[in-house]
Amino acid sequence: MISSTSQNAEPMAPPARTPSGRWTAFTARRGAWPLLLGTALFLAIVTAAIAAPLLTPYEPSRNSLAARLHGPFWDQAHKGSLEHILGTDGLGRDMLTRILYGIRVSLTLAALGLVVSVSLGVGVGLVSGLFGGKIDQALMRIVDVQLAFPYVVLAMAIVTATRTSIPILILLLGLAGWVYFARVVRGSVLQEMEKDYVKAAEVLGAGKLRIGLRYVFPNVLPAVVVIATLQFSALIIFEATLSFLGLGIQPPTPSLGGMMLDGVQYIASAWWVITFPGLAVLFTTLGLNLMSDGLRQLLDPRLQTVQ
Amino acid sequence: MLGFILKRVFQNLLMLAAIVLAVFVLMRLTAGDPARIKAPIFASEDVLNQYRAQFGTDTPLPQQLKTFLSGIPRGDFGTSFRYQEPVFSLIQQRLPRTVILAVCSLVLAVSLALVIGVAGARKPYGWLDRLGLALSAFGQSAPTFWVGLMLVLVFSVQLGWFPAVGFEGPISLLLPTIAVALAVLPTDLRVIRTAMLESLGQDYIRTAKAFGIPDRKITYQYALRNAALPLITVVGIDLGYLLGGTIVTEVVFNYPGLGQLAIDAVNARDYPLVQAITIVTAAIFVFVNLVVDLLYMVLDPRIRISG
Repeated sequence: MISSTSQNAEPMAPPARTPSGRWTAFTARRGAWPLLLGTALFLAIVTAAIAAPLLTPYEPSRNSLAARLHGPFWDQAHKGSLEHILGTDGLGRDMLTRILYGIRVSLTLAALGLVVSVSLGVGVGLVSGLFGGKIDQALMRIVDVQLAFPYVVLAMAIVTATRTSIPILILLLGLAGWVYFARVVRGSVLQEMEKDYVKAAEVLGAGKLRIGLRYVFPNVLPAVVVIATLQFSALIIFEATLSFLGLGIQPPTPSLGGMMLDGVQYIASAWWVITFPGLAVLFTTLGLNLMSDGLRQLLDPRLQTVQ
Repeated sequence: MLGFILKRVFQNLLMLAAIVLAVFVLMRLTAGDPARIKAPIFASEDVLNQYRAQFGTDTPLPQQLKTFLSGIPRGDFGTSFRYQEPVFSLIQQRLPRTVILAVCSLVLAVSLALVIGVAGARKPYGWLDRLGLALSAFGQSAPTFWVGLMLVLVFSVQLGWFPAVGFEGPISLLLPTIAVALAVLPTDLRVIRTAMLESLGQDYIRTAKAFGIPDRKITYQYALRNAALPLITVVGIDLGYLLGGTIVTEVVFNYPGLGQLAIDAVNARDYPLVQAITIVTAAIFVFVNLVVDLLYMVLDPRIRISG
């Protein structure tokens, strides 16, 4: 994505001949380490989730009442053993297995929600910025209304009423964050529209649509990528929250929020049931947030002048 | 200036009206038939109709909307299906508790952000700054409800220092306050740190230094005053977020506030109650932001002139 903008932006890194020189130049830049660290963390979690069937011999929904509430392997007091590394839950299901499959579900839902968010938000932002006037005003009022809305209450009401179907869940996740994209894209478009290259394109007879998609959009893209990584993590948390309230993914499908809801009843006797799914959410979103922070610093030329 | 204020007030009223309408329509579109939920499962059509007449859902939609709208100016949001009580008095009981929780969290978050943010700006990447960055990363990545649960696990279950759930006087406020404050801390901290860095880099600060004015005075009197403006904006946004964001925390701690009421209402499809909670929350958000805007004008002469 960075390469697509490099045609009209100045080269991002000082030229370096050798691969190792390029690497040093990259890591010397502000934001490089958070980006690398975050990406590594996030990719490790995604890989583990995808490879779940290879990593664990258990099925996520197979229970074993003989092995109920075993602690993690170091917790001997709760019958912890290496058989179940992170212990088992109230139905004797392997915690690690359920967490890995839960991450799969969380990531899929959040990613699909993000697609909805980005398409809607970027679309609205582009239209608003390019056309301005009445259309812009109307769209921005909608954005204001949504921002003033206690969205969680509304989302809960809708989910309860429609009996939690997955498409509706995705739509609700998507509608949660589109306004941020719309605002930022509109702002950047307005900035870009003042620049000479857009004026030049106008003089040459390019239409609004061509200017928007061909010239302005690539320059807005970095900002969109930064918010998208941030929103991805926000959606993962939102999905976990809905599932924790019993309004998201329904059992027996494993979901991180659902596992935590399940863990509440064992909070006094089996600490691990509630702790580990939360840590899984924490590490996943931490990876994404670090990525977003690194990208923001890398893509902001003002921060790059201070070395 | 008066004209500007009136214009803002009018705009905000318009926005509230849009929210009221949107809530009404969305609730009717998505919520099922409340009579069916209240009535026994195999109730006959006659019984259902009785319930519908009692709830006022037997009249055509425009009629319902008219009744609903005409009640609002009198503070009449209808009668709760579930509690058989005026919605207004239910909210009146619960709202103060949520406001207390929100304000306490805000005070904690802003004071922490001020201490850490100012210190961080004076000495970037010092130990306090690093602590702040770590706290931010954690607060941003961890789901609020899980932080709450972990606090209960450690301080109530393991150490037994606090009552686990319910409302037993001011001490019950402490853990929820910490959980909620941690969620808003990242934004507050980032804003204060950035604003302080910016104002410490201004020419007048350099001049003050050249005149030999003590560092402490420069930081707290000169720079902080200029960093206060963005802080006010953030507090406005926070307060709006908090009124919705405390919902899940209230559930975790079984704290009898507006959030609990909202969950109960949603689960019972008590839509007069859901409607009213949504509208009241939105109204508070809009009102706080209006106050913030006006405060801005009082504090920043530049805005007054251009407005």
